[in-house]
Amino acid sequence: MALTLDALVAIATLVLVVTGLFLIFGLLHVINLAHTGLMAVGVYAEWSFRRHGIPFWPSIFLAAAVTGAAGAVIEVVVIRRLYSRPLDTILATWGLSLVLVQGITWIYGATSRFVGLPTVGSTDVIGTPYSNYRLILILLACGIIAGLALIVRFTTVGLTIRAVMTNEPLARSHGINTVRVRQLTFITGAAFAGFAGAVLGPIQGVDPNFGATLVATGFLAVLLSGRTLLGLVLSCALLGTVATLYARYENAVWANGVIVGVAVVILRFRPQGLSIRRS
Amino acid sequence: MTGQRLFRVAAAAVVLCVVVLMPHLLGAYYLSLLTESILFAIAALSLDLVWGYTGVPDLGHALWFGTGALAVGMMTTNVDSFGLVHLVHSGLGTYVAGIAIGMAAAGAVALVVGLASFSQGESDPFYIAIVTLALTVIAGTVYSQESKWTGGDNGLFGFAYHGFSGDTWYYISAALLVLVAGGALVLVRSDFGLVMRAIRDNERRIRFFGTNVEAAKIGVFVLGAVLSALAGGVYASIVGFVSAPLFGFLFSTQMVIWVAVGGRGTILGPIIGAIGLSFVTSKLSASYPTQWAFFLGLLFVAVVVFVPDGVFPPLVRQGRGLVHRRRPPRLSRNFVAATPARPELRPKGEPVCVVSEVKFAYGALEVLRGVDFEIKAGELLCIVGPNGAGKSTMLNVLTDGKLPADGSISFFVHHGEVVRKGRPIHAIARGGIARKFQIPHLFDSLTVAETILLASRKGRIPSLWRRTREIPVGRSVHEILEATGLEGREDTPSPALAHGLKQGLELAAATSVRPELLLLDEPTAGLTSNERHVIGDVFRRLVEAGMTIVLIEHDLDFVARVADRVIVLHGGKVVESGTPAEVSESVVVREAYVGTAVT
Repeated sequence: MALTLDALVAIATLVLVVTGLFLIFGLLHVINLAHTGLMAVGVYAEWSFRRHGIPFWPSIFLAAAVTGAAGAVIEVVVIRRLYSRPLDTILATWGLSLVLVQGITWIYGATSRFVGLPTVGSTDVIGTPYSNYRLILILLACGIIAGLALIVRFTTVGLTIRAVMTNEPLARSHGINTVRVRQLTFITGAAFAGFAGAVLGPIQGVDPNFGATLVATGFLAVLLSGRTLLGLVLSCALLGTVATLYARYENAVWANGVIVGVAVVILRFRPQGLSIRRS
Repeated sequence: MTGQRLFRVAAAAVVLCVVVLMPHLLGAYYLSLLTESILFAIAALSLDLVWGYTGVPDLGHALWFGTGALAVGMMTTNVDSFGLVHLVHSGLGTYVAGIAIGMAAAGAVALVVGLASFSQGESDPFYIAIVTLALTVIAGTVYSQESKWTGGDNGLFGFAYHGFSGDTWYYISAALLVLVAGGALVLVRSDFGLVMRAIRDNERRIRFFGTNVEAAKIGVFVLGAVLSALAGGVYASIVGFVSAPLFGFLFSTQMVIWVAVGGRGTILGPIIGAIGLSFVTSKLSASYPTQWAFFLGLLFVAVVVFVPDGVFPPLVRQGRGLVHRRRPPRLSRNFVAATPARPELRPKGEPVCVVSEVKFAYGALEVLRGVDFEIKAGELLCIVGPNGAGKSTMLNVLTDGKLPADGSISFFVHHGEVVRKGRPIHAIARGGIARKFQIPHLFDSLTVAETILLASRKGRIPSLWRRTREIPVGRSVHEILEATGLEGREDTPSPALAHGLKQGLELAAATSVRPELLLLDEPTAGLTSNERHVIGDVFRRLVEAGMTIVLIEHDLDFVARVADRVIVLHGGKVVESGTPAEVSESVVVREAYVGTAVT
C-alpha cells in the first residue's frame, strides 16, 4: 500500500510539474525550458511571502501570480518574437532559465531554505498511515486534471483553445484573437509553473536549482503525451510508476536514467506518443 | 591577386605569427588560460557542426567533453576503498590511450542516442534537444553517486601529464584546433556540407531527393561527440582534473552560448566566441560568478532573439566567403540522358505503378476512398479534379510509405517491384521517383545551382571533402531554367527568387534527379502562358526520351495539349479515365468543375 501511495505521489508530482508545460506546448508548440526557472521563482516567492507572515495557501496563489506576471513579461519580450523560429524558442527559454536561476542565486544566495508544511501528521489509508500533505498533493493533481478536462470539454474558453490547437489560421479567420490566446496561455502556463513550485516546495527542499531533476522527466512526459490530456495522464502515470518501482527495487539514482530510456524507446516506435485519438 | 585576396593572405600571415609567438607574449597563467579556451573552441566547433550546420540542437554537448575527460582520468588513476584518488599510470601512452578510449566511448554512446532518437517519420524537432538535456542532467547525478569510478562529488584529480611544458601544450592544442577547423572547413564546403545545410533548412524536402536524413544526422552527431571528447581528453590531461560539472547542464549551456554568440553555421564564429567568452568568464567568474552567469544568460537570450546569426557579422561574412567556393558549381553543358537508359527499364505501355483500392483519411476526414489506377511506362498522365478531390494527398501517399493508407501501391522501377508500404520517403525517391511540390519548398541557404546539385545526387552518399564543380544534367533542365528565366541566376540564393522562379527551380530540381517516374504537382502555377507553352514542350520531349510523367493540373487546355491520358479524381475516387478529348466530353467532369445545370 505504501508503495502504491508513493507511486501516486510521484505521478501527482509529475502532473503538477507538467501541467504548465503541457498547456504551453499544446497551444504554442513551444517547449518552455524556462519552466524550471519559473518553478524556482514560485517557490522563492512562496518562501518570501511566508516569511512575511502570510499563511501557506494564500502565499501559494500569490506565488502563482508572481510567476504569471513574469510569464507576461517573457511572452512580450521573447516568446512573441520567436513564433516563426520554434527551435530558437528552445534556446531562448533555456537562456531564460539560466537567467532566472542565477538571478535567484544572486538575490537569495545558493544555500538551501526550508518551507514548512501547512499540515503535519498522517491519515490512515486502508491500514497504512500516510503523510497528510502528500495525500493533499494527490487530490490537487486529480483536481487540476479534472478541472482542465471539464474546461476544455464544456466551456467557451475550452472551445477556443481546441480551435486554436487544431487549426490556428482557421481560428484566426473566425475572429479569434490568436495572439491574445497565445499570450494568455503562456501566462497561465507560467502561473502553473509557479503554483507547482510553491506546492512542491515543502517536500522537495528549496534551492536555486529547484526542480531541475523533476523537469527532465516532465519534458519527456509532455512529449509522450501527444498533446492530449488523456495522453498526459497516461504518460505521467507510466513514468511516475516506473521511477517509483525502479527506485524501490533497484537504485534511486539510476531511476531517472531508466525513465529517459523508457520514454525514448516508446517515442522511437510511437512518435505520436501515448495519445489515443478517436478515428 | 585581388585586393581582398591579398588582405586575406596578409591577415592569415599575421594571425599565424601571433599564434606562433603567443607563448612569448603571454605569461604562464594567461597562456594556460588560452590553451584551455582553445580546447573549448574545439568543443564549440564540434557543436557548431551538429547544431549550426545540421540543425540538430544538442543541448547536452558537455556530456561528450566530460566523457573524454573522464576516460583519461579513469585510465590514469585509481580510487581506493577510502575514496582517495591515486595516480597509477603516468606514461604518455596511457594518456593517448585514455583520449582514444574516451573518443570511442563518446562516439558509441552518441551512436546509440542517435539511433534511438532520430526516427524516420514525423519526429518532433524538440525531441533530440530534450533527450540530450535529460542525459546531461542525469549524467550529473549519476556521476556523483558512482564514486568508485568517478571520484564522486570530489571528482578525480591530480593526474595531469607533466611530460610537456605549458608552451608544448599550447602548441599541441593550437595544432589540434587548426586541424579540426581545417577539417570542418573542408567538410562544410563539400557536397556533404550542402546536405547538412539542406537538412537544417528543410529536412522534409531533401528526403524527396533520396537523402537518408537520419543516417546523415546520426553521422554528424557522432562526429560532434568524438571531436568534443577529443577536446575533453586533452583538457583533462593538461589540468589533471575531472568532475561532475564537466558533464553538466551549465557547461553544456556555455557551449551553446559560445556558438550562438560567435555565430552558428560559421567556422570562425564559434572559435572567437569560445576563446573570447571563456577568457572573460575566467576573469569575471572568480569574483562575480553568479552575476556573470546571469549576464551571460541575458546575453544569450538577446543574441537568440535579436541577432540569431551572432554578434560578429563582418567576420561571419568573411567566413561565408570561405565556405562558398570561389568557383561555385556549374550546370554541365555536356548533357546526359534525361532518364538513365537501363536494360531493365519497363517497355512503353507496361505499368510502372499500380494503385489499387487506396484509402486514406486525415482523422475523421476521408480523403481517398478506394482509388484505383495505373501509371504506364512512357506516358504523360494528367490527374485532374476539383480542389479537395485528393490529388495532392494521392501524391503524398505515393511518395511516403510511412503514411498509414489502406490498399496497395507497387512501383515497377529501377530494381523490379517496390512495394510502397512501410518504405520511408528517401527509399522511394531512390527507386527513381521524383516529385515537385505544389507550393515551392526550397532551402534557405542554398543557391539555385546548389539545389540542383543536391537533387542530381539522387541520394547517393555525397563526398565528405569534394564539391562537385560540374553538375551532370539533362538538356531539359537547361530548357526549364531558360524558359522560367532562371538562366544566369545559378548563384542566387533561393529565398531571393520570385514565386514563378521558385516554381521553375522546383521543376528543374525534380527533373535533374533524372527519374524514371516524375510526379509534378501543378508545375505551371505562377508561370506565364508563354512559359507554360515552352514547359509543355519540355514535358513532351522528356516523355519521348523514356520518362514517365504524372501531372496534377487545373488548366484543361494545357492538359489537352500535353497529356496522353487523363484520370479524373473526384470525391476521393477515380471517376473517369481516358484520352483528353474523351474526358473533357464527360458529364462527370463538367459537373465536378462547373456544377450541375438546373433544368
